[in-house]
Amino acid sequence: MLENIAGGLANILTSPMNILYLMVGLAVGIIVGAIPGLTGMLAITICLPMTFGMEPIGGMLVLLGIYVGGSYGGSIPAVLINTPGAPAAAATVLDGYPAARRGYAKKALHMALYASCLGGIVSAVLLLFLSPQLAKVALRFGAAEYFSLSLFGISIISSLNGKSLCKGIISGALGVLVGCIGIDNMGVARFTFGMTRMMGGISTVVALIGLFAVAEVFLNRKMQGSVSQNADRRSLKEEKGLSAREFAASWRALVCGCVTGGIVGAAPGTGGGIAAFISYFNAKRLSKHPEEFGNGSLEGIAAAESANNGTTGTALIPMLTLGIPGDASTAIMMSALTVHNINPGPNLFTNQAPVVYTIIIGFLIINILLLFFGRAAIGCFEKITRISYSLLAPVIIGLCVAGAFAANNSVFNVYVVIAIGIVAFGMEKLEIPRAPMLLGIVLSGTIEKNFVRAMTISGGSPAIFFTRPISLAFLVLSVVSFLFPIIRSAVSKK
Amino acid sequence: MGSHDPKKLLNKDFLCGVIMLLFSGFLYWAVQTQIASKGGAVNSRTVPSLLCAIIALCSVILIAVGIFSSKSTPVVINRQSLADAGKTAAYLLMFVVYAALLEKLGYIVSTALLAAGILANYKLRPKKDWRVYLLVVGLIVGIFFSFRILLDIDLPSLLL
Repeated sequence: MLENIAGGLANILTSPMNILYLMVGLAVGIIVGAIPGLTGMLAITICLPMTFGMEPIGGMLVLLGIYVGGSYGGSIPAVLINTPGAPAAAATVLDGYPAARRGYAKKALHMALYASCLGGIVSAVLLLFLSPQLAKVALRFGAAEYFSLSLFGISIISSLNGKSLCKGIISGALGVLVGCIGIDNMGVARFTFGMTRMMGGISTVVALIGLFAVAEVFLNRKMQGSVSQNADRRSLKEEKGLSAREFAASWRALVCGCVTGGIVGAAPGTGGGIAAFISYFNAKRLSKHPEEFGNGSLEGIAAAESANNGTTGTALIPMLTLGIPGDASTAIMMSALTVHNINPGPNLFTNQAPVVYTIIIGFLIINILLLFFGRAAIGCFEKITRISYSLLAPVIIGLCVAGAFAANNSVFNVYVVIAIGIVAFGMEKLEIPRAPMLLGIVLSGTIEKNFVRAMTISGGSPAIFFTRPISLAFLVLSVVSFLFPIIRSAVSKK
Repeated sequence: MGSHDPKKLLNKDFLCGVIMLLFSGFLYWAVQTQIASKGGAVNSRTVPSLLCAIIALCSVILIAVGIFSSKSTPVVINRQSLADAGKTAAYLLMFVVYAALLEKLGYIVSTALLAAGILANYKLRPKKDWRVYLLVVGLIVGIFFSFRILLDIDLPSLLL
C-alpha cells in the first residue's frame, strides 16, 4: 500500500500538467460554488465532456478540483449574503450570515475555509486508509435505515432551530411537501393542479434560492447602508482575520464535523447537506456556548463546514469500492472513470492501483491547496459586505433569477423562486424557521422512497423500522432530539 | 390571567396556528383531489396525508399555546403597521409582475426594470443617483453575457 501511495505522490508532483489540472479545477469549483444557483455539480457536468479527451488521471483531477472547490465555495455567499452557494452549505448560513452582520465576516470566512480544509484532509486520509472498512458499514444500510437516518436529520433541525418545536416540525413537513410535488416513483402526478410544468417537480437548487436568497431581499426591504454598516460598530472596528486561538477553541465542533462528515459521506445517497446539519446540531449540544449558535457562532460554522467537506472524500469510498456513488457529483465522476475503462468496484484497488492511488493522493493535495486558493478568494469576495445593500439587492436578484433559470432552462423556475421567497418571508414573520424546510426539501425524495420501499418489503408493517438495529438506533435518536428542547427547558427551570 | 384577554389573543403563535390549520384543510382537499389513489395500503397519498395530519396537529398545539401562553410575541395592528404591510405587499407584487414580464421582455430589460423598482424602494432617485442605476444595469448585462459566453446558458432575451 505504501508503495502505491509513494507512486501516486510521484505521479502528481512530477507532472506539471497534473498540478495545473487540479489547480484549474479548484479555481473553477470555488468560483462556481460561490455563485448562488450554480453548484459544483453543474460545473462538473459542464466540464465532464472536456475530460474525455484527457488522460484519466488528469481528467479526474479537474473534476475532483471542481468537486472540492464547489463544496467549499458555497460557504462564501452563505456567509456574505445569507445564500448558500450549494445545498451542502445550507447549514453554514445559520451562523455565517449572523457573524457577518455582527462584523465578523472575515473571521467567519476564514473559519469556513480552515474547517473545510481540515474536513477535506481528514476525509482524504479516511478514503486512503479506511475505504474497505467504511464500505462494509455503508453496505448494511437498507431502506429502513435510510428512512430513519433522514428522519433523524429532520428531527434534530426541527427541535433545535427556532423557538418552537411545533413550528420546526411544520417547517420540516412543508419542505417534504414541496419535495412531493410532481410525478412520484409510482408514476402518479401530485399537487400539479393540471399544470404540465409542475410534473417535473421543484428543483432543490431553485427552492434553495427562493428560501434564502430571494427571501433575504424581501426581508431586507428597509435595510439602509451595507451589511457591515448594519453590523455591531465596535465589532466592525476590530474586524480581523481568525486567530489560531479562535480556531483551536472550536476543536469540539471540528472533531464533530470531521467524524460526522466521514461517516455520513460513506453512506450512499446522503451528501454534505445532511452531514453539515447533523454536525451543526451535535456541536451545539457539545458546545460550552450553545446560546451563541444561530447568532454568529464560529463553532457553528466550523461544525458545518468541516462536515460538508468531510463528506467529499468518504463519498468517493462507495463509488470506488462498490461502484455505488455517494451523491450526484460522484455519480458524474464515476461516469468519467467508466469512459476511460476504469470500472469502479471491489477489484479496482488491485487491478488499477496506480491510477486509483494517484487520484486519491491528488484529492489530498487539492484539499491542501484549497487553503491558498480559498484565502485568495476570500480577499475578493469579502468586499461584498462593504457594498451598499441597495446596490447588492438587484444584483442578488439578477444572479438568482439567472441561476434559477439555468437549473433547467425554464422561466417557470423564476415563478417558483419568487413564490418560495414570498412563503419564506411569511414564515420568517410568523417566526417559523426556514432551515427545517430546506432539509425537508433536500431529504424528501430519500424519506418517501425509502419509507414506501421499507413498508412494501415488510408487507405494510411498520415493525421493520424497529426491528433493524441501525434503524432503531436512529429512531431512538430522533425521539431524543424531539424531546431535547422539553428536557432542556425542564432542567433549566430547576 | 391576561391570556384570556381578547386583545392579546392575536399573537404570532395563535396566528401561525390558525393559518397552518387552514392550510392543512386545503392540503387535505388537495391530497383527495390532486393525487390518484393507486396501489395498496401504502400509495402516493400516504406521505402527503401523514404530513397533513402532522401539520394539523402542530397547528392545534400552536393555537393552544397562543391562547394560554403569555410568552408568545404579540401582533401589533395599527395604522402604521397596516401602511407598512401595504408597502411590503406592493414590493412583493413587483417581483411577481417581473416574473410575468421576463418571458416577454427578456432578461436584461425586465431585470433592469425590476432593479429600478428595487432602487426606488431604497429611496435612490434616477436623476440624483443615475450612476448607481447605470452600474446596476451594467452588472445585469454582465450577468447575462457571463451566462451566455462562459456557461453557454441562454437567458431569455428580446433581441439577442
